[in-house]
Order: sequence, then structure tokens, then C-alpha cells
Amino acid sequence: MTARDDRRPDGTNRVVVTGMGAVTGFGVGLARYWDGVCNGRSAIRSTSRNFEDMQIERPCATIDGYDPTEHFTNTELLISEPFSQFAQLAAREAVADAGLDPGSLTDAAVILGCGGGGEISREDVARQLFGNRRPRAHPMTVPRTNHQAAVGLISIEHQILGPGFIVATGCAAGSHAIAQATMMVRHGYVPLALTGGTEACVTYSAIRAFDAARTISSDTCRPFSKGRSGLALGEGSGVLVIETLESARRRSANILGEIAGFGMSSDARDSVQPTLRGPVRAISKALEDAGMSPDAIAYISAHGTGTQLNDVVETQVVHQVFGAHADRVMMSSTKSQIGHTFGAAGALELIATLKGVALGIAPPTVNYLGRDPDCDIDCVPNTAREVAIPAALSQSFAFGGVNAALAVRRI
Amino acid sequence: MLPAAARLPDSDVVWAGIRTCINKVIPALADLDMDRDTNFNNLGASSIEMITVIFEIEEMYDVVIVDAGLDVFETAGELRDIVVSLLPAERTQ
Repeated sequence: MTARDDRRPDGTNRVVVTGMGAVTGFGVGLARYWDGVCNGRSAIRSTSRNFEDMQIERPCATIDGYDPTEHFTNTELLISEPFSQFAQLAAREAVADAGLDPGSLTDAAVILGCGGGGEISREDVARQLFGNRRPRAHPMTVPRTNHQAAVGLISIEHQILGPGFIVATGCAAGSHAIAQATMMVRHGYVPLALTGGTEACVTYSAIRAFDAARTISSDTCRPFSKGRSGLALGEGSGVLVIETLESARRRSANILGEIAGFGMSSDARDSVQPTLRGPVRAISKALEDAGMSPDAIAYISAHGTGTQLNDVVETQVVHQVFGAHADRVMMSSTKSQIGHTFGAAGALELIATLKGVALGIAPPTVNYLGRDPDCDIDCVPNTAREVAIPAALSQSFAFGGVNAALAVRRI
Repeated sequence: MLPAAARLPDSDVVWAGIRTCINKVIPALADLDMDRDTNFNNLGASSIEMITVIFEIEEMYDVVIVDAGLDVFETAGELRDIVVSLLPAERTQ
């Protein structure tokens, strides 16, 4: 290797991933996530939530066996919501996985995606003020609910003094956050970053809201499959440690893959109806940024929500970008396994993609019942596939018509 | 002057309610014996925990402590006296 290899053609830093952590419906820890993915399991279960005497039951993927008192003190729990707790746990695992010494994170950035923030406390305060007609909100409502609580608590725990902020672009927030962090490391603004996303919004009101939008499945999430009927809400967090290739090599870190490129775009057409031009632009930009031709991509981690329209449009997007190669590329959705984790989705999907690239395993689309002719792609149905994946994409498309794609490669 | 048929709330009963709030917010203190001279500053409770304890007491007794500027106390006895002073006299007949 030469010093020249550490740089991109434009002279900026190459950015690599050296640590990852995850909290998913399979439980706390990346090993549980990856085990669930590889074994084709689904963490989606029929889940009920109540508000007073009202109840709703829908398929969701909540954190299996999660007991916050195993991980946090009483004082910490008073001030933090699950969306912050999940981010802290994923960050702890990622930092340990990266082999970073305490004190080496001083100049790092913490940039996470999050869609809803403290939905649980917001629901609690609504119950208190409007349901019970009490005049007082819980005194910890503000520190619990603000989105940036997650990055603040991580910075406190790891004594990180660099920039910290939340990107709040819903379903694309995790991918946007990683793109932003990659940009900052690439250009030397920070030497490394903790980045990813977090979400915990499986609440009565959130389920009602998504249900009213006619997006939630009647049984489970089965993207690209015949008989699909929508998404399943999920919760969790994914955090990655990214740094320059140069620093990773210098400290002999375990390099899990390179974030070779990213692309971001807006549909500029409709707030809820997906379009082709926005996602096509984001993916094309990511490939261009990575210096990759479309046929270099072996695997795509789809946005793959399992709604009727999204999966059809996403299939059309891939055909438009990849042309004849769309018949050879694999594209699956881990949302069939861990639900739609919104602000965490882009991060958790990138983590599964990177594991797949590193280990030569394409994550499956589970709950698949058979081919939908309008989704004519290889979605790796039901069973993970051992196959070399030199390069891959992870893509996220959000309400509002905002899109992000990340291109990664083995290194 | 209280009406003849009224009496002050039983301070022991009030203290039991306060202990319920403390134990709910700070489970680590549940097994600790407290008397009226127990100083909260010596218990290792954080300001976040104490603010939440007061919130729970306000909710339990429907009284206003913080907004009335009464959240100035150090001992268990002082806290109990504040709460008792805010409760209406109980009518016995």
C-alpha cells in the first residue's frame, strides 16, 4: 500500500468503517442482529399498545428481552428515553468493536439520524395534560424528548468534544447522517465520527398515525412479494465508527469496509408519492462519487418497505439506473426482519450490507410468498445467500421526497 | 383557626405517601430508614431525581411545591412539613 491509496482521486481522505454496534428486534448487540439476518428470521410480532382504554394491535419489531436497568443507572433512565438508550448501547458496542482507547474520541463527531425523538414521553405528557387534565408536565419531558439527547448522552459517556447533531429526515435520516459524517471525515473536519441512527416510536399514537396513512401491514412485512400489504414498525439503533483509511491503517484497525460514495437528492414533486427521478438521482450520485460503474454493484440493500407502491417504484428505479445489470444484481430488504426502524433504518441496513460485503453473504428478504411481476428483481427470497459482494449500495427514501444512497466496497 | 370538626392531615400518613414517591423514583433508597432529620444531600440523590420526586409528590397530593417556591428543604422532616402545610384540613364529621 502507498500513501496515495489513502486518498481519493480528488485528494480527500478515503473513509472506512472500523466499528459497528446494533440494537434491533433480535435484541441488543450486532451478533444477535447478524445471526437473525443470516438465519432468515423475522423479529416482527403482533404487538399491542394502549392509551387509556383504547388499544391497537399491529405487527411490530420491538427489542427482544430489553431491560434498561441492565445497562443504565436509575438517574440515567430518568433523563433518557429508549431512543437515546438504544443509541448509547449501539455506540458503546461500536467504540469497543473499533478498538478505540478511552480518550481517543475527543475530536470525533457524533452525527445520528432520528425521525421522531422522544415519542414515548410525548405520549406520556399528552396523557397527563389532555387525558388526565393535569396542569403539570413531567419535569424531564424536555430533556427526554429532544432529538439531540441521543448525541448529547453519547458525547458525555465517551467524552467527545467534537460536533454533535441529529439529522431528522425520517426514513432516510440514518443514511443522511452517515453521508454527512463521511463528508466531514473525508474533508478532514474531524478525524473520526460515530454515526448512524436511532428510533423508538412503537407507541399507540405512532401506530395509529401510520395506520391512518394506510402504510401498516395487516400481518407482517414482506417486501417485493406477492400478497404484501405494508410495513411493520420497528425500533432500534445502528452506530458505526468511521475514520480515514490512513488512521485505520496506522492503528492496525479491523477495516470492515469503505464508504466509497454517497448521493443525496429530493424528488421535488410530491410529499408522499414516491417518484423515480429523486431516487435515481441519489443512486447515480452515489455511484459517481464512489467512482463505480453500475455493474460493479453486486448487492443493494433496498429501502424495501413492503408497501404496494414503494416496492414497485423502487424496482423501476433499479431498472432505470442499472439497465441490464438489474437482472443480475441482488436487492433485499432487512425491513422484513427488523421492521421499519425509520431514523435507524439507513444505519442498520448499511451495517447488514457491510457485514454481507465482509463475509460474502447477501441478507435475505424474508416472509416472501412468491413473485410479484411488478417487482422483477432478485430479492434473495427467504434465505441468506453465500456470494462474493465486492461492492454494494444501501438506499433510503423518505416521506417529503428526500433520498440518500451509500456505496460501499470491500477493502 | 380550624373548625372544631376538622383536623390536620396525619403526618405519618403523609410521610408514607412521600416515601412511596421517593421509592418509585429512587428505588435504591427503598430499604433505607429515614427519620425527620435525614438530610437528602447526604443520600447521593441527584438533582434530577429530587426534581422528579417532588413532581411525584405534587401529583399524589395535588399540591404546588415548585411553582410556589417551596422546594427549599434539606431534611425529610422539612419536606413532610411542607406537604402537610399544603394539604387541606381533613373533616372528621
